[in-house]
Amino acid sequence: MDLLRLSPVPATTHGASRTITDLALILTIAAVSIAANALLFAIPITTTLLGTVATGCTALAIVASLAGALSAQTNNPILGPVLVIPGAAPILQAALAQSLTILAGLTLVYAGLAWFLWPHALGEAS
Amino acid sequence: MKTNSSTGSVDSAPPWRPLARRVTLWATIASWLALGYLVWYVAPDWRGVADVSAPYTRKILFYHPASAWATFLAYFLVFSYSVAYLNERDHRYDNPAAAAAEVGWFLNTLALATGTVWGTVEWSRTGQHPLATVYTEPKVLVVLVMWFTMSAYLLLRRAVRDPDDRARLAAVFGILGFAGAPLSFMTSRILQTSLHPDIAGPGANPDAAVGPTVGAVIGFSVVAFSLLTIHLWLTRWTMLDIADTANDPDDPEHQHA
Repeated sequence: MDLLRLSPVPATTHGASRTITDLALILTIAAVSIAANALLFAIPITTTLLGTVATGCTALAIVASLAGALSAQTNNPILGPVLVIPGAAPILQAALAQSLTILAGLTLVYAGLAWFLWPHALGEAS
Repeated sequence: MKTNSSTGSVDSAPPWRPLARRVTLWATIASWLALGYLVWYVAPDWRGVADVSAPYTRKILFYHPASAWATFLAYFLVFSYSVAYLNERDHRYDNPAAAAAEVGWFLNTLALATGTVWGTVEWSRTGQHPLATVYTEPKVLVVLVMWFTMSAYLLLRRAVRDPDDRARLAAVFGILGFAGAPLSFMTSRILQTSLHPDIAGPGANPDAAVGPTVGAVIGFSVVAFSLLTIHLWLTRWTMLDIADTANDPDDPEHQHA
């Protein structure tokens, strides 16, 4: 964390890079899961399904990366999943209903919040 | 007001707080005595009414909405003081946020418990266990999400030792967590049909409309719960300030052998 803070770039950039890395990981897992489900259970891959997964994963990556930054600074990294729950709940609710509009709205809200909170989460803002 | 940067302790309390605590204490006692009288002697007694199977459970109506409202009030205090802390990095905003979270967690538990009792008796879906009916209800899920949020906030505070880091991380989570509750509320309200009756406000269900007497008692219970919330919050805030001062190594009066 100290090395991260010493890097000569704004904290928001750290947040964005961490979020993009997490998003790549989540999307890879989602792609493998969708492919496995399509093969094993003959689930049709529709544009709605792909859009829901892509938008939901983006929102989840934003929230989970920020919660990860918070839990990494505690003595108890297992706190991470607990901190994700409040942010992830509305994403899961909208994803279960396959509502792309609400998911897109949630993604925008969380992206705006993350933009404001990342510098504070890393202790850079004063 | 001065703050000690090494411990985060607040050196003096706001001058209005002792008076506010005293006023809210007596107002809370008076309002709760009045609420008890209104609930048991003025509000309708549903015993003997044909379609009411559990008349005493219906009395929960006078406590459940108010406890949910008080939870939102406490959490709004957490959110407000978290924003203030991040803007000014002043420790005088940290203890009120922590105190509001503790009070909010207690009220949230109360709202969840009363809602569960109400739902298991009043709601039913064919072939489903009553608890499953209650905990698949969108509004109950929102209250449950809030309960997890408050629990996570309190766990986060206990997991960080450094006062500056603790206040900063808790403030960040206070804002992120507060955003989750209304978003979850809106999402579930837009997407699903609900068994939960909306007795007042925009989109209220006409079938769930209550009479003027019941409405007035519910309104009064909201006032009583708000007073209780404010008093508990002020008291807990005072206790946290005292604990900080007692742990301050720079204060010679509080150094123990």
